[in-house]
Amino acid sequence: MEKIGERTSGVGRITPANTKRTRWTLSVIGVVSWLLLWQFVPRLLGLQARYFPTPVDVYDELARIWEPVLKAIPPTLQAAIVGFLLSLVLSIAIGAILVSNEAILEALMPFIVGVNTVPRIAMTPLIIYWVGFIPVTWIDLWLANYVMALWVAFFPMLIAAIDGFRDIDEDTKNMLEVYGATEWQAFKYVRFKNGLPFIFDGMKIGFILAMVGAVVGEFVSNTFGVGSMAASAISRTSVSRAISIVLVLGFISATVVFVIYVAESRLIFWRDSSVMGGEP
Amino acid sequence: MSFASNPRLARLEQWVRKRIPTVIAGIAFLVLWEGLARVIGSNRIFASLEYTWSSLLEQQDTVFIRITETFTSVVVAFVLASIFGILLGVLIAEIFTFRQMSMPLVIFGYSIPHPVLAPVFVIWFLVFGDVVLLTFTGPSAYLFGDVAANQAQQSFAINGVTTFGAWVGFFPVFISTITGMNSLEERYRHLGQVLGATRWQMVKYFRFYRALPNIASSLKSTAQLSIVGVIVAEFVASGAGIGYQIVLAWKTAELGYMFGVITVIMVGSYVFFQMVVWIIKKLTPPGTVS
Amino acid sequence: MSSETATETPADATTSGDSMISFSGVDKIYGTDAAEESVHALTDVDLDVEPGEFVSVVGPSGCGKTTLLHMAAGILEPTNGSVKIDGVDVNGPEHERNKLGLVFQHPVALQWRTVRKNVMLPVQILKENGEIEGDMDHYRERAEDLLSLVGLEGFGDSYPNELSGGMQQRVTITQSLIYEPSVLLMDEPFGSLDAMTKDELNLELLRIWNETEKTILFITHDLDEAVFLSDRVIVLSPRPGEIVDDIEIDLPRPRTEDTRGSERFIELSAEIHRHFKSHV
Repeated sequence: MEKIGERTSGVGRITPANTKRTRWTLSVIGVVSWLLLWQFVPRLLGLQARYFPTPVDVYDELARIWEPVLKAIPPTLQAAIVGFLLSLVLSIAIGAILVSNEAILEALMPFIVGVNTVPRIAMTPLIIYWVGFIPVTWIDLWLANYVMALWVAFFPMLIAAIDGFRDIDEDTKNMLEVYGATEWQAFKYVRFKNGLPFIFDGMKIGFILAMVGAVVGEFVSNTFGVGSMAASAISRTSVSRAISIVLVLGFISATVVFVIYVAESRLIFWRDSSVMGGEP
Repeated sequence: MSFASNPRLARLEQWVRKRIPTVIAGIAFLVLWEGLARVIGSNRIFASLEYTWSSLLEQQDTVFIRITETFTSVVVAFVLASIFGILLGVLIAEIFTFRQMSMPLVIFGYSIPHPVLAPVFVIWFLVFGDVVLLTFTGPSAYLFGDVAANQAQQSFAINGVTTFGAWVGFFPVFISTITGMNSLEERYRHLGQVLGATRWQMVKYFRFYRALPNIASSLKSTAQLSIVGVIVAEFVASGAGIGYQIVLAWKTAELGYMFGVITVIMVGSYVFFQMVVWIIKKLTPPGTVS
Repeated sequence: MSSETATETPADATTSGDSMISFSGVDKIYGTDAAEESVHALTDVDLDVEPGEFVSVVGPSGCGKTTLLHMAAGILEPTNGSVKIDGVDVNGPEHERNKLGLVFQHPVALQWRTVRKNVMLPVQILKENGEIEGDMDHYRERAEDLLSLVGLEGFGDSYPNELSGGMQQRVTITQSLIYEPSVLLMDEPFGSLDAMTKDELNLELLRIWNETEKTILFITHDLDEAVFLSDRVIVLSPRPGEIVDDIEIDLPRPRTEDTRGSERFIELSAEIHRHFKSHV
């Protein structure tokens, strides 16, 4: 039904109908045209295949290194997933505790925001260094990647959880007070559900960040995984190798984010979900 | 003496008051640091304040040159990310077809854990060379007597490090530009219709400005992410900037130096971030930036 | 503008050549697509507003009052029939944009412009598009005069978010007056204000109307407001909206606070209220 004055963009006179079908079609056309451009433009411009691989070149390279790539994915993915899950659990737990006490929250918030503002990634070598000291035989430098995943993903997720738990309006707060609800009851009945949209947004960012942490860990420590494979592509100046690894990781990451998005749209029925995260 | 009678003094007092929590936080941080160092008792595991400071001083020339190098890259990365983010954002927001066509690609690009792309950018510029925009002699040559001008030379360049930093910083401002432009409330569209505003007038007077608060807010993220991107690229691109210094410190097991360099980065990031916020506040109508 | 002048115009109300605003046989149906359910918003509307008249339209929520106004503004097109402003079809190419002003329920003051710049905005756009002539200095002067007229003197350099709701609405009204449109279309302009501010702005509106001789079509759900302000009150039925009554308000002008308590006022108000009782 036409809404009063609705236009899909600007004040344009001719706009394609904003139907689901049109959107999907355009998206597909977009991907296809991009692939076609990517395939034919480098050739047309006479660019070398070595430094400007086309999709076909990338596919060939990927087929060639498929086995090693498959072997390299698990260590990286494991580090990312463990780091991510730990961040999730910790951010919710710590967030819940902090929110229950206004004073502590006010005092600690500047620290948390401060740590989130600085590039935590700069501490990668330090974390790797420290992990090297752990005197347990089966633990090796690979643990650093797990820690990095956790370290990078945790703070934004914590802030998301805190924002979510805090975001109840004045009226609801008053209602809880009138009923004499304890902090735990307030959390159980109101805060947690209220925080879910924020937590899901945090999860989308969090997973990508966990991957970032794991990969950078590998870059620096040179432990085995997708990240170090990508880094080694530099010394061979193999663009096609680097790109194929990018695509593989990209797919994995996008899939996980999509799964989170689907979970969110099932669980949170009172707000529209989006793949990229809601409004601040 | 009453502050109320002198508005400038009153504002100064306000400014100082606002900074107090930060100062307290800073002091608490230093106290914690030294406390932990004492408890652990080994400069090989946790460098004390004193050890950190002296390690830094020993290599102050290098530190200064490298930090300048890094933040020069950060500036280029940030500017590139902002310009492309806003321009492309406006374009995509305006043209429905482009938006739908590029959606999956944008989401994919956004999901890629950016470090895996760093090698791609680095390789490309290794092969094709950097685009140098401007070279200048860094402050190190002026501050330190034993640093020659050519050692302290810096350049604003488009290279693997800066383009990668721009890639990482691009998404927040790009996405929020689109979100902002598309959230223009209906009544403004109606006003535009009644006045017969053209599409360009709608963008110029209404939609772009509606996006400004979103853009201003996301530029903060873009600033932070540009720093992250530059440092990550420096980790894999050999020899570049302060990022490499940290790796070097790790390889030579110089913990004091590592602590020192990391602290320098943190402080530098904080300063850069505040500067960006200040600039944004100055450039936008009041009330745009929180 | 006194109602005496209005009664002197020709009695033949359907001569659209004389009317300022005229709806002839207007229908508005949404959802003409076979797949969608169609909504019959307005049916068979014939309405003429003479130059200088103040006409209110009242009706229950969803009865199509806003649709009616938006059609007069040229934002919507009628499914059947025609809408003319000063004899010219509002959707046709000869329609002169500077003849119409539309005042919204919520302030359209752009938050990023000062009050003065907001008032100048319509002039900027209309001038760029060649809809009006005259130099900017003339309009700047006029802006100052208007700001004084609505009681916003001295606030020219303030930003909208520094002003109260009532003041922001005054800015909105001023915006619609700057290019001297002969017709003002007002969509519940005081609906979001508290009762006292509303009464104040009602008086001010009458004062402005008196000094500028505009033709006003006014939408409101406040029946007393309609009686207080207008020469005529049109009552619209619930969907599908059609005109069920056209009541002449013969209260003397200028109207004051005392008018609200007068016997005739109460009579007229009761007459209109009766329409709505029967729809319960």
